Amino acid sequence: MSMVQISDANLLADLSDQAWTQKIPENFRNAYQNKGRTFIYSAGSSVIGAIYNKKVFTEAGVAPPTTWPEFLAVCEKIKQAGKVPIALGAQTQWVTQLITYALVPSTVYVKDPDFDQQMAAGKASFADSGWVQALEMYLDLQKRGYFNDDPNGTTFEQQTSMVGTGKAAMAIQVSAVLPDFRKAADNEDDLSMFVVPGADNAADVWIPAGIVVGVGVSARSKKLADAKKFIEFLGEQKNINAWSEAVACVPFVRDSSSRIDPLLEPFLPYMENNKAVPFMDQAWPNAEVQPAHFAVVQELLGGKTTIPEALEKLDDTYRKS
Amino acid sequence: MIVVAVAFLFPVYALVTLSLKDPRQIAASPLGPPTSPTFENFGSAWERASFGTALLNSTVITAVSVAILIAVGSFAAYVIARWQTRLGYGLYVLFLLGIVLPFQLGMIPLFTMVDDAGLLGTYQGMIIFYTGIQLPFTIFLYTGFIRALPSDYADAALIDGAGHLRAFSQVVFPLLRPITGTVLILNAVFIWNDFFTPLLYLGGSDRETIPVRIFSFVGQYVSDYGLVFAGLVLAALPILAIFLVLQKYVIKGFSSGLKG
Amino acid sequence: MRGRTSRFLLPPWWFAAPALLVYAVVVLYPSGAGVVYAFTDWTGIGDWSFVGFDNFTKLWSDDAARGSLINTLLLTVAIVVVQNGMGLLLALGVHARIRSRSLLRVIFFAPAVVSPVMVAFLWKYVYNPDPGEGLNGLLGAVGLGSWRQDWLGDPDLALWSVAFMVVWQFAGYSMVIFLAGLESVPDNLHEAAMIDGAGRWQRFRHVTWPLLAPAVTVNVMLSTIGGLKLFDQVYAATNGGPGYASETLSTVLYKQAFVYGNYGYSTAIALVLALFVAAVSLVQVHFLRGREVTIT
Repeated sequence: MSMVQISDANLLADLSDQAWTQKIPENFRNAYQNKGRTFIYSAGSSVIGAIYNKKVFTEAGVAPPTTWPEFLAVCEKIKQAGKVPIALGAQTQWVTQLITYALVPSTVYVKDPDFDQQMAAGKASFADSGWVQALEMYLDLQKRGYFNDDPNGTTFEQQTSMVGTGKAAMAIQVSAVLPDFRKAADNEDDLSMFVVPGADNAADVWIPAGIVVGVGVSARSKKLADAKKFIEFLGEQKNINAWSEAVACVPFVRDSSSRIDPLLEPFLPYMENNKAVPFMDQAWPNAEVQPAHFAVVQELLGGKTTIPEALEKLDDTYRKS
Repeated sequence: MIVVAVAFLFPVYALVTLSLKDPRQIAASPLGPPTSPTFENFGSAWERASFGTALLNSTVITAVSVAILIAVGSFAAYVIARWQTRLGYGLYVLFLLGIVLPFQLGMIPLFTMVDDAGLLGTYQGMIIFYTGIQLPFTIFLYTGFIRALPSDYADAALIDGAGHLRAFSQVVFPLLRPITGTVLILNAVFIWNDFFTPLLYLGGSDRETIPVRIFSFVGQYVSDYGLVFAGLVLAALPILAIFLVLQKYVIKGFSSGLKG
Repeated sequence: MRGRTSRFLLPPWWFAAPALLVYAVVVLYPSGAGVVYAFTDWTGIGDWSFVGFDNFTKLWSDDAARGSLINTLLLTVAIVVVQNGMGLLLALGVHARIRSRSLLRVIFFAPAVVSPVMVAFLWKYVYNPDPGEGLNGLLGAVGLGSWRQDWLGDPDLALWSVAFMVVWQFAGYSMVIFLAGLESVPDNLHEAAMIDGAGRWQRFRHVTWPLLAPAVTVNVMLSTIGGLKLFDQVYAATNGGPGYASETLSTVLYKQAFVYGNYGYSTAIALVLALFVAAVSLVQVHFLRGREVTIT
């Protein structure tokens, strides 16, 4: 269930009178607010990119790519060097959406920045958009053998461990899981991130970036005042900084002591130049579309469906509300 | 036959050997026997899963629920078995309905009721829940058995002037020993191992039962096979131990149940 | 003494009162409320309104729900046939051995006593696709490496892998019930048949099998109901995946209520499932009880 659904049912406490809510950047407001009132707190945004093992890259003689053809070439060289180019843990369902999300900003939103509004108005559909191209690129990676064997039988933890121990070169992941990768790595400094170039030329690459998780207060809580005080505490700059550091996200408001994880450096220019798109599911009207996306990706990876059928299913589920 | 038993036990073999190995041994040879067995995983699992508390919670909830089920269920089954009228039969069917209804049908209305009564996260809430949902099965077992019992003993006691309570508790109930054994084991196993409802009702409180604790434990440490499996072994031990001790009664209970 | 028992000898009605009270509060009332909600669009929170039979027509036209119905049936048939088949074979094997009977009984029955969720976790490891781990590792070690599969990740195999796991856990349960049945066949019947020149297979077909009918009834009914309602193991092992390959009615029911918030729709599915289970059980009772033979 989404924040919108729960707040519409009057189950979330209104946090609009807290000071930090005034500092929410314009283009993030939709994630925090419903009908102009703030209901959840989130320290900042995460990005989706490729978390990679620098040692494996060096040994294979490759460097982070800036265009899609370069990306394919990098994967090929890593494969020739005997390592798994991209670790994919598709058995853990939320992992399946990440590669699509990494590519869709470049294949869809560069040309149609208001794609979400068009879909809501019924003037656009998944099946008739850059989503087709994104899924084709996704499956192309599988066809070329750049994923590990049996992605549908591999879990997120196994994927993490493969990259951390150098069995695989990279995993396309959300930056919020950097702490997990660091724990699984032989050596934390082996890890770094680069932007997944979903387009043929670097200028047309956009990235997915946005709020991943939020904290709200139940309107029926027996300790309402205390809970709200805690959120206010979280809203203090020094705590925003602390949380952001812990989960490697970009704080939504910064001051001089905000430290952004160095691995996120490559992504900042995109966020500052409006080349970042919030995670797609946040604009979807009901809670069934996202799980349907997970399921069709697993079906595509397992060869059980085709891209047109998969996107038709997504469209049908979208229209269900 | 021995070959079948050995093949059958492969998963158990994997479970035990992995729980005795440290991460290095696991990486070296996942399937071989441990080169230097260690009990470290068990100690670690006990602590991190707050196993002691969970063990207490599971024991209290299971023991009290089963006791109540045996008491309340046997009394009700006695009525149903002896009242060979349409009323008696109707009551029987009413209870049997409970075996067929999936728990999800009434799950959320019941949750709201328990919440409103302030019974979430308490022993009482779970005990009332289990008593309610296991009564149909309990009554089914007891009724079948009682029907096959001759009524002479109880009748004799009643004619001799004993009240119904005495007739039942001192004459009939002792005769129910075999089926009580079955009722006890089957209910205890079900309640002890139940996962979903305790997750809903006890999740986040300090009354979590073993399956709930193990579930979050596995979710947390999922890539550390040795630790996870040690946790699973710990969780299975209590119920396995009781089963080993009482297995004769279980088997006997099944054969008596069959005749009914 | 046949016929109606005199009122004096009947237990008082209030013996059944506590049971009835708890049962009504915990099962009957909430289920009744649930049935009402099946005709609404309730999301579990907030307002709702009656939608008549909409939920049921939706169920009929929803591909995912229809697919899950087929999966549920396949899963149940597989479990009933294989679990009871294996249970019978195990019972025959164990029954023939006098010395190790107790030990074998314990070994095979033990998994039935452990929580299904934990068995599912254990089997998730056994089904690990990695060639060095679990079942694939074992196959490799005994030279059957070409049999290795992605047991839970391959959409064609996932459902059957779950079925096999359930069979492993409960074959011993079926076995115990069959054993009880076998032990109740009087030896003199076997002896008489042997004197008449009947071979082992004939003895089984004409003496043992008919007298096993009550055990067959119990086993088939229990495993059918269990299979139709199966939830914990599927949820823990595959959560209905990959894709929709192992979705069952129970997992769809769960997701509609707890993931999508379509509580009204979910209850409608639960109601259909309940009616289905009831219908199948009635048919089975009628069919199977008729086969039962008693020794007079």
